Amino acid sequence: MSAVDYGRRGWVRLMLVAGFIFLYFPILSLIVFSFNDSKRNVTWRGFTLAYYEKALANESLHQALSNSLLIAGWTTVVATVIGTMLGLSLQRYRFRGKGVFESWVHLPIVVPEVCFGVALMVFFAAIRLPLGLTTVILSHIAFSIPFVAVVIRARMASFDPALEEAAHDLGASRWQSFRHVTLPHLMVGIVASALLVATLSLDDFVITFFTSGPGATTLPLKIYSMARFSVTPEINAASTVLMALTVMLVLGAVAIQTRWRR
Amino acid sequence: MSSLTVRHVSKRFGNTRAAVDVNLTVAEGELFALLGPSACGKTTLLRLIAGLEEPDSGSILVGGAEMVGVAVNERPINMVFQSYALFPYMSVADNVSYGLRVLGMARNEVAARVAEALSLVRLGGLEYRRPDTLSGGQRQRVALARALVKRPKVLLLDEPLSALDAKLRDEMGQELVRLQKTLGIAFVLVTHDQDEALSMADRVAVMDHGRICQVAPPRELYERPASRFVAAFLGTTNMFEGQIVGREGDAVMIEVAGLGCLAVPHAGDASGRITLVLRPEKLLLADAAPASGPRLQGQVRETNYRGDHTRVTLNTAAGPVVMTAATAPAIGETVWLCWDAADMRLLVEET
Repeated sequence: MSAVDYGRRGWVRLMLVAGFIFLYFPILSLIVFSFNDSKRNVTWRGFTLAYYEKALANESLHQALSNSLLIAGWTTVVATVIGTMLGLSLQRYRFRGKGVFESWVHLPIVVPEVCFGVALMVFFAAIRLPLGLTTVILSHIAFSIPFVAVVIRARMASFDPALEEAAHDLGASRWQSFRHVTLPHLMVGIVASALLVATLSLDDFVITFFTSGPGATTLPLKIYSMARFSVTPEINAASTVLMALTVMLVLGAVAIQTRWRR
Repeated sequence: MSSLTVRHVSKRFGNTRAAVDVNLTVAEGELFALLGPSACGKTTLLRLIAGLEEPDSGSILVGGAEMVGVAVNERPINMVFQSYALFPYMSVADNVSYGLRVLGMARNEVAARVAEALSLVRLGGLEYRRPDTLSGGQRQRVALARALVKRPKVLLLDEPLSALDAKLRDEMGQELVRLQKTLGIAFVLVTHDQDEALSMADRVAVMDHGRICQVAPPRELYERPASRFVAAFLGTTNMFEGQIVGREGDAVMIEVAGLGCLAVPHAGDASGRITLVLRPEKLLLADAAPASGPRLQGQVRETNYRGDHTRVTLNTAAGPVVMTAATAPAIGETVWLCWDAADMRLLVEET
């Protein structure tokens, strides 16, 4: 089935172009001005890589980037494993109170981030866990799990349960049939949700703001605090690096998925 | 020697009774069909035999060994699934060899058995293809080879032909029968298609609401149905309600409204209410009243051309009657129907 071709109508095209400009012009100008040879972001004075050099030489930016990567790394591994198990059990098993459990599990997706952040901060204070890298990682894992579960459930919906039964019938143990038949089908979903979690964790600001402590500044937090003094092209350069990182992750996800489909 | 015995097996899903005290025996090398309308419990029974469901009570024996409590992967039974359930990420050869590789069989032995299984189903040369590049018939053969390579004692087939188009269904059905006779393995086949069951099976069990209604060879099932349900489910049939009024040697005398008094060959001392079953193809058309034998006058109401025959519906004193004719009479014409007394079948209602 092909989609209705609205592209031929003039006003639809116009809306499309306007939408794209609205979405991408700010980002484009951010990137362009990161190469601007001026202290201000207003007028174009010529091409330079000086601010990239400056940003790369900035020790505190380094620290923030490595914190961000560390947090994203741990979050991705732990949240993907737990979220996959959660998604599988919600898809597969019936148990008492499943309906209630399901809606509660998905709550972090809809609860306003500010509330979630404050709640986590209060929780960590209550259990006397000092704010730092650990608390940020725990918080990111907490808000990422439901996203993984949703992706895994969607992927499992297209799985023919007879496949696992067939493997079992042919002599495979339950674990073998899962590993040989279910897991390959699930892999696309696992990779996709891992990359989703990595990007969510890399650019999270609100929850990180409430749950990070001294020595646990992430790249988004660092960029924000730099911008409070003045918006220099150095910030543009740092933001461009963060963006490039996320885009690379997304492109990686797309590449893996298309290769798997073939 | 029986290869599969099912004894007093029952299974409930909530309030649905999927199997009610089922008893079956499948002989070695027999092609056995479970036939019934959808949701009659035939697929559940197949899954119980495979071990994909556990019965609430009863016992399932294969070659004398108890199967209840034995895990699916430990049973000497394999199944061809309705959707074929081919592993999409594996080639044809990998699909077929899966059941051997997972047991850790040596490579060269696996290769030999896979080649043998593929040639058995005439799929040589397609080893490296992916399932999604195969036609329906080819997928069916891969599923078959994948199960047969395990050399099971019993092969279960869940609606094996339902996903194929009509012409292919016929061919594949006959090929399954040839394969089964060559291998001598007991096949248990589930189907809702009576033509499939009658044309392929050595014996057929008709199921309804989790119960076995009748187990018999195809001809007997069709010509001597044991109940109104079996008679109505297998093909088209004319049924007339009546009463037994007496006995005369080997026959009983029955009284049916519109048909009058008839002598029907029937063993056993029967009395009370009966249903007279008369198959459409046993009826013959005549222009004038036949001199003797059972007969009925009717007016042609409807004709329905079916290629090799025409189905004729007539209005008679005994109600609407369906018959098959080689050439169609004109609508509205008054004709006579006659038949052989031996083709009548009585169902005695239980009181």
